[in-house]
Amino acid sequence: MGFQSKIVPEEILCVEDLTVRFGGFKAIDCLNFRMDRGELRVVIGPNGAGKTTLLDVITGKVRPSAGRVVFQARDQAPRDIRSLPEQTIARLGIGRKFQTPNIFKSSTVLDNLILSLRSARGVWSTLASAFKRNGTHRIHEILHTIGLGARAYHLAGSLAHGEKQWLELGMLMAQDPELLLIDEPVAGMTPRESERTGELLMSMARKHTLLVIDHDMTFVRQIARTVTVLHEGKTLCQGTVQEVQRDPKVIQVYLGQDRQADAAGKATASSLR
Amino acid sequence: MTKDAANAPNLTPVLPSSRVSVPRLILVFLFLAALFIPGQYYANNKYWLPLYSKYMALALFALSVDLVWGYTGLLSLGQGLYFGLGAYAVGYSLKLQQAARVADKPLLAAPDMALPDFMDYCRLPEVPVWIRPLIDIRLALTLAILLPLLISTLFGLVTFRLRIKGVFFALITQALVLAVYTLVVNQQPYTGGVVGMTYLAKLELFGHKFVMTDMYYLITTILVICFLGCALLMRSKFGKIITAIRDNENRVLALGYNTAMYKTFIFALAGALAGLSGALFVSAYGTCGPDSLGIAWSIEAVIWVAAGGRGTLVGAILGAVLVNLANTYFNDKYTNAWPIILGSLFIGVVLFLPDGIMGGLRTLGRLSMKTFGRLRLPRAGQSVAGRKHEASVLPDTQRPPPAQPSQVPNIQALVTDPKGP
Repeated sequence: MGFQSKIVPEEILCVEDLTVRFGGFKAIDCLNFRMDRGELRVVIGPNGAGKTTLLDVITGKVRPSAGRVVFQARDQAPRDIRSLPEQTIARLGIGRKFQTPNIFKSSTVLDNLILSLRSARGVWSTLASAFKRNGTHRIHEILHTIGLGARAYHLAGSLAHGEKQWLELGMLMAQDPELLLIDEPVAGMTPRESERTGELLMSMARKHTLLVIDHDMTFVRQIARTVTVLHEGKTLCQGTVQEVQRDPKVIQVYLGQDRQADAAGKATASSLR
Repeated sequence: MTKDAANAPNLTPVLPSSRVSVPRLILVFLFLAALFIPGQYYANNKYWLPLYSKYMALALFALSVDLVWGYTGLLSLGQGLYFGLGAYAVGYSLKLQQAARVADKPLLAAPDMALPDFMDYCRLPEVPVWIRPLIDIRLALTLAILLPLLISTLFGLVTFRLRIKGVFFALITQALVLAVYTLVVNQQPYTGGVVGMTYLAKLELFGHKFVMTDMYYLITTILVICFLGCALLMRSKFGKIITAIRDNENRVLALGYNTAMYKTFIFALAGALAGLSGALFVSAYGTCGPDSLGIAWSIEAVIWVAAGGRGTLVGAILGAVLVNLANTYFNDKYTNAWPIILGSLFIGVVLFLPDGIMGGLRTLGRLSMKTFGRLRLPRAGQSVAGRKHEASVLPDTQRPPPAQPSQVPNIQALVTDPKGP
């Protein structure tokens, strides 16, 4: 695996007894979830398991009905971010890649990255920054890493789907948050593209903490060390890819109850070799 | 971008955040210079020159609408409110001056200052205290900018922090302008009611009376200065954030920008511009009525911008001037046809020219470049490099072998697949 976790694990995110209700429906039901600094965690689960809702809560887009979300930025005291506005949470050091590419389509690739670059975010400091130019070197690096160097001056809206996904990852790199929440990064990508995305993510995991949501098991196997399975807003199980795929509860959730768990378990195990 | 640079394995050198295209710059400066032509051409024409002065003031108003709607994507159907505030501030001033001249009194705020005709008709005993100081044109002009600035800031703070957007924002701005219209029309003793204030004095600043060509050049110069200011602002990082908010506000929020403050800033700036344009309009037109506070007026301004080209400053000016020229022309010939023509124009623009005149010109330019030219427009879309660049995502040594076809794409298929590899 391409990433190294710290020797002494330090908690960066702690979700306690989290519940999110939409009307009568519980999207997340008393969920407990922890992540250590430097970890690359993959969260999987069937549709409606509450994966995206979990990200919405962490980024402040959705307010939870109960529970706590504690984020510990480097060199800062742990802080409950449950009721902070989105932009404040982002500034604390949580970045997010949305499920569909969320880029600024009528700006150039370069401008997309420049706007993401770590800098003061206020109106007045932005107005003053018209006279400064810094971070060019970093932008060069990122453009190279995501392979869009030749398209720096193209409108982001004219990129292909996979390139848009990479651009958004590049924007996250420019933002340089401590915790990255990444929602389905390889959706709609060719196997080749998703391989590269996996490597990109693993290279990012060296410096950051990553929480990745995905369905694509080929991809999950490529990048994951620890996998958390969500089901109906709760943690079903957690472990390595192999452990999770052998877990009878997981198989049952994905298959329904009328199948033979054993047979499927064998198939799973053999496909992993 | 040359073909060699694009095909090179390393990235092309990237320095400026946006490239300045020299031909485009020249075109813009030619356009701005052309705005001064009517001042020469119609120098002694008492019909057309005041009309063009009016158009230039309205072009400034279109800039204001364009900042809010074109660049930030906030459809404000109430910019007329800020225009009206500026218009009335200067309207009062010029009316008081005119009354003072007729009564042969000094241009000073005093309890016994000359009563303007509309107050006299309504049996107002004296000029209300809050209107008196406005006789000083410098104060009136300052207020014409500051008052809209203040009100739009407050309005922006409230609505944008409450995350009101889209149709709801449009409706609230419209409701506000309608409320103020009703207020102004019903307070005839203080505002002149439906008629407003007529026979205004000429604008006199720094001991110089602005009439005819002077007036035209004054307004056009202010317009050009505002244009350049807006152009600089929109090319700066601030402008890029503003357009980014239009494209994808969630993304901007997730990057840590407080979008409500950015929107408030641009809305306040647009309010101030609208106030200034209202002030200039009244000085040029010589009449100040509640029309500008009507709903139709605010919507019409949106149509000018749509026709000229949303999100381009040149387009806003072009749209305002051309549509108003058409208005004058058709009002002469077929008095009642204008609303129908305006409506059809809007539908036509939405259907056939979604980016307005500027969008049409850009397409035309691109086509002619393709046909005749060696030069390509910088934003012509597809790159010469095609898909080559994908190869540079990772160096070759790090690249894994291509995915095996036997690998199963998702867990569901994985677990249910009876055969396995």
